[in-house]
Amino acid sequence: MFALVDVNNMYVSCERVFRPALNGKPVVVLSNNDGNCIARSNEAKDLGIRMAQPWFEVRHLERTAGLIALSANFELYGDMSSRMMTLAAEYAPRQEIYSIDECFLDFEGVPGDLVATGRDLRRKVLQWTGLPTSIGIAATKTLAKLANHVAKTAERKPGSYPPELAQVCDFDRLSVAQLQRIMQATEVGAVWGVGPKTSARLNEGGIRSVLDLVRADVSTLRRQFSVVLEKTLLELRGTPCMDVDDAPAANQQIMCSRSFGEPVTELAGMKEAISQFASRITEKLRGQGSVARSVQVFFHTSPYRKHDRQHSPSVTMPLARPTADTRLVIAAALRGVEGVFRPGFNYVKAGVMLVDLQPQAREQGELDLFDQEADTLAPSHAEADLMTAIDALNQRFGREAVAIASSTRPRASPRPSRRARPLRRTRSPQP
Amino acid sequence: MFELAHLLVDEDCATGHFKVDAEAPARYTVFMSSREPQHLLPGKKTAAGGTAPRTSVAISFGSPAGDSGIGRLDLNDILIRHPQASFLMRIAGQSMREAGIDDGDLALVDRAIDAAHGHVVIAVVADEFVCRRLHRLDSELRLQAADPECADLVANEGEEFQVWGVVTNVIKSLPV
Repeated sequence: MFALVDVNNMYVSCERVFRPALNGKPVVVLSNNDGNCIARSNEAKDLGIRMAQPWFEVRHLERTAGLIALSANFELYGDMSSRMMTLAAEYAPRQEIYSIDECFLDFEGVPGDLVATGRDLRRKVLQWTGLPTSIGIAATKTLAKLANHVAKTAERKPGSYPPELAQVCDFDRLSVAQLQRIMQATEVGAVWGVGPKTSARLNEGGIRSVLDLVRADVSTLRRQFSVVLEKTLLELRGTPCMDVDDAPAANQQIMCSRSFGEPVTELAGMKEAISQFASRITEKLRGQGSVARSVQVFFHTSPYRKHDRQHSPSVTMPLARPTADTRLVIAAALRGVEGVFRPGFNYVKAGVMLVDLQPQAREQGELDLFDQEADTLAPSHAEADLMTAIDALNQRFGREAVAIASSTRPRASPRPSRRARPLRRTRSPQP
Repeated sequence: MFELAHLLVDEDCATGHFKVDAEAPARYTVFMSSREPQHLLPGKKTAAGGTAPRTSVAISFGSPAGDSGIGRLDLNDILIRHPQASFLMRIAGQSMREAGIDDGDLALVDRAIDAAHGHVVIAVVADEFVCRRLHRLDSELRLQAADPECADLVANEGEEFQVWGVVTNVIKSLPV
């Protein structure tokens, strides 16, 4: 059984924790420079504001509807995210952080009433952090995502789904008939990984609801669409087949996180792992033609190692300029690691996330005009060429054929005598 | 708010279970808070039957690794009980001055603690944060300032408030 834990309207909810006056009002959070709405409160959604809608299109609502717009504060969101993730991790033996505001929990082998567990988790996250969450529970990740959609929508729009499914929704508790009614009432576009284009094509073919999709013929779908959609269909029917790497990418962020085979206890080992993750996601970033403005680094100990002292730091480092240069991303990520790493803890998992993404071309043009003095930081053709060359070599000769030196250990050997340096910076728990 | 004590403990202080052994030589200096089990408080009888020494100055913890000697003392470990629920807020105003909380102090706020009668809390009143002492006896619920000039906020007299978190520590900066 999987649960998907998701913070409702994450960025707006983070702002509301520290600014109670925002409660009950229509609020949007704007991306840093291009002024799109990257988070909306329920009240803002009710005004008809769409995800990623440009600010200038909705600006008039400031006067007419009391809309409040805030600039994004990714350092705050990263800190609140890490608090929520750490609390959620205590509830299941395995956690997979999917994005800044969502994680999957694998409840395999967890005894007891999962709805009660979910409600307890929700209550704890709300009390400890102030963040409201929705939790969907089901046999596969795609179904858990759908259950999460139901939990959230049932709360936001009373009457859309049975009220008892609000906040925490467990598909496993429903009869086949109940589940079919829910799937009948849900548009196919709400399914994880079914984007607007696929959704439009499915509609043309007469597949409008989730139930239509579940009843569709697998081989026809695979022929007309993709293997990914076939997997989605199997998952909707209750067969788990979505690996970490199959999972559709989350919007507006790229991340990589892995558990370690052996706990990492030294700074050097952590820096190596973080460098690898950082180069992997920066390659992904270039692949989609974007640049990032911040990089978040996190690592944590295991709440299941009861005798270990627990530490789960997370730090969001702004990048000097929006970039897709592996070297700059790694440098920022490593500064973050050095700031929060504490020797003597058994860290079992780490991750890196690029946040605050934007399309590449425009930003570089602007910087070339205004950032004359920052010669060493300014993007250049040589740098772009270098990254292109690295990507090409890695595609041809395999992952990490070429890598930035900090992510490799050409003469790796145990270094028991090496002591981690003392902390140079510490970070207050203040958001 | 805090007392400092030398305690004799063995290695598994890393797990948070302090064992007191009055016979063994001192290996670590432990910074104690008043939250520690009563029998470990300075001056009280210890489990081993000895009496822990009175206060002194703490310089460090034993390292959590247990075998790498003395690590530097970390305020996060000393002050923060629930890292995921702890926030720092700066106090503005003098209404809690008689409770020792002054303008400009840093308040450490813990949201994981259920607010009880007598706790100093951060509450939300009319969309603003205020720092007050929570008075909660029988059905009466009010927020009291530590300032006779400042009227109480009474929950059941038309005022509404929500407790945001419990203040566990106040950090002052002294002129240097």
